[in-house]
This record gives sequence, structure tokens and C-alpha cells, in this order.
Amino acid sequence: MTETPTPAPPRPRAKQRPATVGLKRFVFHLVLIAAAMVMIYPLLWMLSASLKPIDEIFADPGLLPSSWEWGNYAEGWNALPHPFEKYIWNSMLIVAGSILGNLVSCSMAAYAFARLRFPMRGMLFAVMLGTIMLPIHVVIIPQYILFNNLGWVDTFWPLIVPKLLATDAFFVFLMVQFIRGLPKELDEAASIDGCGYWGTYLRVIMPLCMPALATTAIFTFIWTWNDFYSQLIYLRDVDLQTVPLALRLFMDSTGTTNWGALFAMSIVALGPIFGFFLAGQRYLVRGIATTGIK
Amino acid sequence: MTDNDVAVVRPKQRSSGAPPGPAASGPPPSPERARRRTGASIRSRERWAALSFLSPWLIGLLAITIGPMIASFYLSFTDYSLGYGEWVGGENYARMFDDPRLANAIKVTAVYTFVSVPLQLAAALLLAIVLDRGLRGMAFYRSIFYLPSLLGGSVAIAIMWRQVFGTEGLVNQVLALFGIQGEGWVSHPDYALGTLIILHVWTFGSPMIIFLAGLRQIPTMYYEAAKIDGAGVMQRFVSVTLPLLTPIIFFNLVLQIINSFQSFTQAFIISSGKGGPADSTMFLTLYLYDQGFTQFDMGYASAIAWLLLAIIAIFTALNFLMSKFWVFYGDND
Amino acid sequence: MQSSNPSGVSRRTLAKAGIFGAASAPLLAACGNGDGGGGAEGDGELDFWWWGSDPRHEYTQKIIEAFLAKNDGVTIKPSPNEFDAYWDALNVSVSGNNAPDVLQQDERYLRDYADKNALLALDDIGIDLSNIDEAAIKAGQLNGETYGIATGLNSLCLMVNPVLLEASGVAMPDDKAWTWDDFKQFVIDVTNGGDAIGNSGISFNNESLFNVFARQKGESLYTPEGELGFSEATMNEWWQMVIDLRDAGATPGASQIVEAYAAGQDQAPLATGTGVTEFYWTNQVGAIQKVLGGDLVLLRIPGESAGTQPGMYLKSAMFWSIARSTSDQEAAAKLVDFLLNDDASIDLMLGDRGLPSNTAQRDRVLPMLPPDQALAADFIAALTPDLVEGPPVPPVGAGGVADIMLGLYETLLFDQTSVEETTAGFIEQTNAAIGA
Repeated sequence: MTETPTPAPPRPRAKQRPATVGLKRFVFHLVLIAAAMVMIYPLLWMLSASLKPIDEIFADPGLLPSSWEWGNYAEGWNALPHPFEKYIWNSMLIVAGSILGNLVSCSMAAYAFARLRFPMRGMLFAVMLGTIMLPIHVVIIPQYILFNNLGWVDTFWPLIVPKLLATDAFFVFLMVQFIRGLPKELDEAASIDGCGYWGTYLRVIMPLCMPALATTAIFTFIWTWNDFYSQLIYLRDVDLQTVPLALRLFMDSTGTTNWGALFAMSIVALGPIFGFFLAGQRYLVRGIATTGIK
Repeated sequence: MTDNDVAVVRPKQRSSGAPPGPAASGPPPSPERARRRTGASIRSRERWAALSFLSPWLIGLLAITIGPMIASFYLSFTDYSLGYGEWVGGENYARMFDDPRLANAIKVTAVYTFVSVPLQLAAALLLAIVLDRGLRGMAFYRSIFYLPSLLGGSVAIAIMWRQVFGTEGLVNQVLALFGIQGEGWVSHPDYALGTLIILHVWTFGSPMIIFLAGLRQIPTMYYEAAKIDGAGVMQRFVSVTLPLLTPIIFFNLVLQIINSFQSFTQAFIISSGKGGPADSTMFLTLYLYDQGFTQFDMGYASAIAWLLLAIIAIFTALNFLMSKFWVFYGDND
Repeated sequence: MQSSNPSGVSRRTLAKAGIFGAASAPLLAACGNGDGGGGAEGDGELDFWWWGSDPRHEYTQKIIEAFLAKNDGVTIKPSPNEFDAYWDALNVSVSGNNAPDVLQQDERYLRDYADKNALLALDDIGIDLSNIDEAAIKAGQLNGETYGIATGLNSLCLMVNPVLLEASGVAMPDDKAWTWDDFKQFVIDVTNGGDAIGNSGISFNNESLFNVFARQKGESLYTPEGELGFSEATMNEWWQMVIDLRDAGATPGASQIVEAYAAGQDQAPLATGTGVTEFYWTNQVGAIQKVLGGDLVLLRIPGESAGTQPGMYLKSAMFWSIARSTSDQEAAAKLVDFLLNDDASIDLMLGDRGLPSNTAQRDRVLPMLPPDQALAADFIAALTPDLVEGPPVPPVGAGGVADIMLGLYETLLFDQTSVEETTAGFIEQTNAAIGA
């Protein structure tokens, strides 16, 4: 048994390389591609619907439009009280605040729960989990009264301040699980090095939690971007409305729904979250592998 | 002193064969530190640190979260509706025992949760492990597999889902090739819930990402150590990956159970939120919403919410109790 | 003013529950000033809410601009929404004592909100009602006070796809004389004669359509006292017809009906060109024609001349209401008056919120209506002389009745309940909902 894991010598795998591995890999990718088709179908469907004339969207289930209605995009962009970039901008502001809030406040709380000993830790942890067990619909009215009395209705504060105060217990719990998975010897080493609790949190735990932080950022972006209900309740002013609210403005269940514009703008609305996901997943890196050894 | 010195501790344990966890408990917590300062001062310092780390969360809890929760508990003892409410005592809770639609909603929700959560987590874990390889194109596949979860409660999903599982939908067209006459899956009371379960499994992206993040956190040195010991792929998975991933598996299990008990938007896809056909997709939260927002009976809705909280809390507590037997943490507490 | 602070109870209730903690008292006191029920000194700031889709949002913004140009010192915060979302938001904001000043209301919910003191009586606050259709005013009255003024009127009708009808070889029926039996035969013949389904079967759960059926027998869905007003026999007859149509294959199978209903008007058979007829409100014709890409013909509901009395009635498309907690009653009244009576407003609105309830304006804009709205307007104009008084405002709790009827209709279609059980279930559940 060696003390330090020296780079393992290349295994004698070469023997089985030529034919079987190539075939295996081919089948592997074939299966993945088939599965990917199932996953990507809704996007293709939406894309096709966004380019179809209105009398074809529901009557013809095929994916290819008979004529390409690029005008749906131009129309959708400008059909609402504000041009669509205004809604994207409003959504971006809320998303930015939420990500910042969740990353800082949830990781702080998680560090305390995972690593520090303090009175009533178990009970507070249970309370923290309990806060996500009550359906939003019954707390929304009391919460609304609270924010209304603070004069915060028709501002972004009711959507951002809760994130700054770590009310998304989901992420606290997520990071608790990640931090508890880290070897505690790391903290102890840091402590011996003279790091205080803040130093340990900032210099040891956070860098190693990069995958969890990336996950938090990605999920916060997506969930906030798609969140309809609380934005509906708190953002009534047409100037403050966001992407999910704007998408609904094309719809009228008993009147005219502008389907072409609706699907076109739904595709547009997907852009930022997909882009953020692509960028963010690169940070799902090997925390310890990159910072710990080698 | 660098992390290097720390890192070497674990491979040594690994090579002894047992997974890191309670079984192979590490050295007792920080003997050096304990020697350097008195226990009491450390404890007080640690408490203050905990308070400062917890302060945003505590403020949020006291100012934003706990108040409305208590308020909704209070409302469950009133007949609150559109701003007015009188104390009615336990009437809302008594009413539950005589409400067949509520009983049905509990049944529907339970079936949904206990079928879809294991399936979804299994799919997520499998895909996460497959996609964790450093092969070419994996980032691309990850993005594609995550797509359904990006779409959220988009109307497009609702329409598409009906076109796929409808009477003349894609699924039945495929079945017709084999001479099978399919049902209207989304609109038949016996199958509608099934299509929602499929939908839920299909959006495995979120737990998959969390698994991926978890896999990325497993130190590569463990694998290397296992390799040196001559462990095969399967053996490495069973003795390294799985044990070290248990905190994350546990997280996903707890949260997915909570989430699916609170399923709401899914039913909009099939029944525009009416819980149909014939109440077969009437989830508990949907019923609660119907009572509170369509019938304006927020008192009863709040009572249902607290019933739901009690149910979820029981399952979560059970989950935590059982976790002692299968979840391994790196902190060896 | 006796209930100048309608949500006082709510705040006490919630404050008692301790949701505001120690800081609550000053906050609560501070916010008590803004909602004094509209005294002399209004703040000139109006929250104005409506639902619809983008064309309505666009022209309503223009109406607001026209109003502001004529009224200095008033500012308006417009809030457009989609129908379902609108009611979620309204419920929360009314419960939270922050109701919009001027808002659209719907027949199903008007009574709930009025009953909870959320709405202001509109009779003597300076809104000119002299030209408003008598029936339209009555439709928004409760206990002699007007809580909503109809924006415009609609009627139920049977929409027929003339191209598909011709293909089936069946002649257009005489809708002034036809009975429900004729309708049944007609739908069966149409189905047998062509490829398309005779009727898509997604309206038999519509309580307004059943109301027409009941009224033709001298009964009604609700009595003025807010109770159920029809006999079991009437509803049994109704469900039996549904079953007969289904068994004759003149409506789609149960699954397809449920599917089409959930999909909404734009994806239902009439709009996709796979169904020949369906019952809809007249104001829906434009949207359906657009998705269909063809013209439709509007027919009267069957049984109008065969029964005790005509059952059809003009329904208020939607109402204008003012919140009792408005911060500026005078400005709010001015806005509603402008919406109802001003040329500039009606020129933009035309028939989009129903055929205008202001009869003078109605006559003025009739020639200006776009073809689809003109189709509905002509239908209503021809129908109006034959109608009797409309049904009373639905009782408190009526908002949930549509879902009850839908749920039972589905169990009937899937043979989970018999005709009699369906009727009994409806009566029991509806009584529970409306507290009768």
C-alpha cells in the first residue's frame, strides 16, 4: 500500500480495443441518441409550432410547417404592451438577485448546519425542512399581507429578499448534504493552519462545493425564470411584468389566443435558461480532483 | 500544511476495503485543536460563529416564513374567505373525515408519489452515471436530457402531451402498427394518472443534475485506490460510488417525495387543473387549490394544507430514521 | 360609511395569528389610511385590472391614454392578465386588502366578491347609466344594488361549419322551430352523412346551456333566492340525451370528449375542422373562425319555440366593477363611465367585450364592426325581440359549479354513474357549494 496514490500505470486494456470497443461505443451512442430524441421532441414540437400558420398548429400534428411563418417572432416580440426585451430584462433582474441571494445565504446556513455544533441544531434543521412542506397556496395570502404592509407590492423586493434570507430550504438542505459528504479532516487541517470558521467556509468548503454551487445557480435561474405564481401575485404593474407573465398575455381561454406568437416567444424565453444551463454545467467540475490533489 | 496531507488519509482507509463511513470511522474529531484551547471557549466561539452563519436564514425564518405558516395554521380554524373569517374551531378538520373527494385526492397523490419517485430517481441515477464519463459529446447529451425539465409548466408541454398520448396521438399510431387499438390515454380515468407518472419520470433532469454534481464530488483518489486494489468497474461502483453518493441519493429521495406530494402543475397538463377525468388526477394540492381559490374556502384549504404537511413530515421523519442505516457521511459525526 | 374597511376582519384575524410579530402594529395602523372607501380627497391613482389576450391589451392601453388625456391629475397603473391567472391574483389582492380600484368581473364570481363586501355599489357615484341596456344593469344587481355593469352582451348559440354540413348532405335546419329531438336527429344524420363528427360533445357540462334547457321548461338553474330551481326529471332528460347521442355515435367517445374539453376551444373539433357543430358563446366565433380558417354559421339553441317559454338569454360578457376600498372613488367612477359611454372608448373596444351594453353606442358602432363581431351582433339583434327576462345572478359559491358539472359529466360518459346518479350527485354537490 502506497501512501500517495501515484498515477496508476496504464492498464493493459489495449488487448480488447480494436473491434469490440468500437462496436460497444457505437451501440452506446446509438442508445443515447435514441433517448435524446425522446427528450428533444417537445423542443422540436414547439419550434415547429412557432413557425406554423395558426390553422395548422392543432389540425396537423406533423413537425414540418406547410409555410414558414417567421412573422410569428416579429409579431410576438411587439404584440404586448412592451416589446419583449423589457420582460426579459425584468426577469433577468429578478434572476440575478435570486442567484446571488441563494448562493450566499443558503451556503452560509448550510455550513452552520453541516459543520458547527450549536444548541437546538436538530430542531432548527427540522423547522428548516418543515418550511418547504406547506403548499405555497395557503401561505401566499398572509405573505402578501406582510409584503403589502411593507409597501413592497409592485416592486421586485418580495421576489428577491426571501432569497437573500435563505428561505429556499431546498438549497440549504442540498448544500448540507454536499458539505457533510466532504471529509472533515479538511476542516481540521484548515483549523490547524489557523483558519477561523469564516476562513474554513470561504477557503476550504466553498471551493470544494463548486458542483453544489453550480447546481444551485442553475436551478435558481431556471426556477425563477419559470416561476409564474409569485410573480403574478407581486408584479401587477404592466411595467414590471416578467417573461412568464408576458407569455400568458397571449392567451385567452375563451377568446383569441395568439398561438403563433405564444410559441415563438416561448422559444425565445427558452434561450436564456438553456444558455445558462450550458454555461453553468461546465462548473459541475470535480471539486476535490481539481483542488485537492495533483 | 496543505490539503495534500489530508488527502492521503483517506486512500489509506479505502485500500483497507471498507467504504468511508461509520463503518470505517476516522480519527476522533480534532484532538490537536482540543488540546490547544479549552473546550468551553471553543464551544462558545463555535456557537457565535453558527449564529452569524445562520443569521440570514434565521431572519428570513422569523420575518417571512414562520409568520405566514402560523397564520395559515390559524386560518385552518376559521372560515376565512376573501378577507373575512370567523373562528369555527375544529370544524374544518372534522369535515375531512366526511369528504370522499379528499380521500380520493390522498389516494391519487400517494399512488403518484410512490410509483413515480423511485422510477424517476432510478432513471436519473442511471443517466447521471452514464453521462458522468468523460467521453466526447457528454456535455451535449447532458443538455438534451435536461431539456424536458427546462420547459417547466409550459403550455406547449400540455398541448404536446395530449397530442402524444391522445386518442389519435403518436403513441396510438405506433401501437396501431402492431395492430393494437390504443385508448385515449390522457383522458381515460384509468390511465390519465399513468401518463402523468410517465411525464414525471421523463423530467428526471433535476435529480440527474444533482447526482452528477454528487458524482463530481467523489474524490478521484478513491477510485484510483480501488483500482490499485484491483477492483473492477462494478466493484468500484458498489464499494466507492454508491456509498459516497448516499447523502445525495438521500437528498433526492427526501425532496422528490416532498415535491411529488405537492404536485400541482402536472395536472394542469392533462385537465387544465380540474383534476379530471373524473377526479383521477385530483392531487391533494389541486384539491386544496380548488377549495381555496375556486370555492373561496381558504379555511378548509388551510386545514388540508396542514394535513398534507403532517403526511409529508411523517414520511420525511421515517426517511431520516432509516437513513442512519444506509447513508454514509464524510464527517463521521 | 359602515364598511369602509372591508378587510378589517382579515387583518385582525391575521394579526391575532401573530404573523407580523412585534413590528406589526405601526405597519397596520399606517396602512389603514389609504382605503377609506373613497372620501372627498382621492389620490387620483387607479389600479386597473382586466383579462384577455394581446389585441385586448393593446386597445385597452389606448383607451387608458384617451381617458388620461381628458382627465388631468389621474394616473392609472394598468394590469393586463390571462383569465385564470387573473382570478388567482384578484383573490390574493382582495384578501390582502389591496384590491385594484377598477376591475373586470365575471358572472360566476360577481356575487362572491359582492357578498364579501369587496365591491362598491355603483348606483349613485356619478356613472351615467341612462343609455345602458336594462337587462345588462339587472344582470349585475344584488339586493337592489348594482355591483357590476355589463360591458357587453353575448348569447349562447350553436355554431355550424357550413362546408362540413354540406359535405354530409344534410340541410341547414330551421333554428326558429327546431326541438331538441330535431337536434338529436340532425346531429346523428350529419355524423352518418360525412367524415366529421356531428357534435363534439364538450358543452353538455356547460351549466349555462343546461340553464337554457331548464328555462324552456319554465324552470331555471338557480332561483332568485339562490337555490337550485330545476326538477330532477329535467336534468335526467338532459343526461339521457347526452347518452343517446353518445350511443348513436353522434358525439365522440368519452375519452375524446374529455380530451377535447381539456384542450380548449382552439383545439376542439369545431376549430380543427373535424366536428360540424358545437355550442359556444357568440363572442367566441371570431377566435374559432381564425383557427379553423373558414366561416361558421350561428344557429339558435334548439327547443326555443317548443317549450313553455324561450330559454335563451343575453349574458353579460363581463362586468366593470369598482373595489369598495378604492383610493379615489370619483376618479374610478369617471373611468368606468368613460369605458361604458365615451365614443373614444367604444370606438376601440367595438364588440370585443360583447356587444356594447350602451344601446346608443351599440347602434353607433354596429356598422363599424369587423365581420366576425358583426356576425355575432346580427345574431343577437335578431334574437333579442324573442327573449324573456334573463336568469338571476348566480348565488355565492356558483364559481365552483362548472367544475362540479364537468366532473359528473365525465363520470357519466365513462359509465361510472347512471343518469339518475349523475343528477343526484350534481344536486348534492351544488347544494353544498352554494350553501343551499
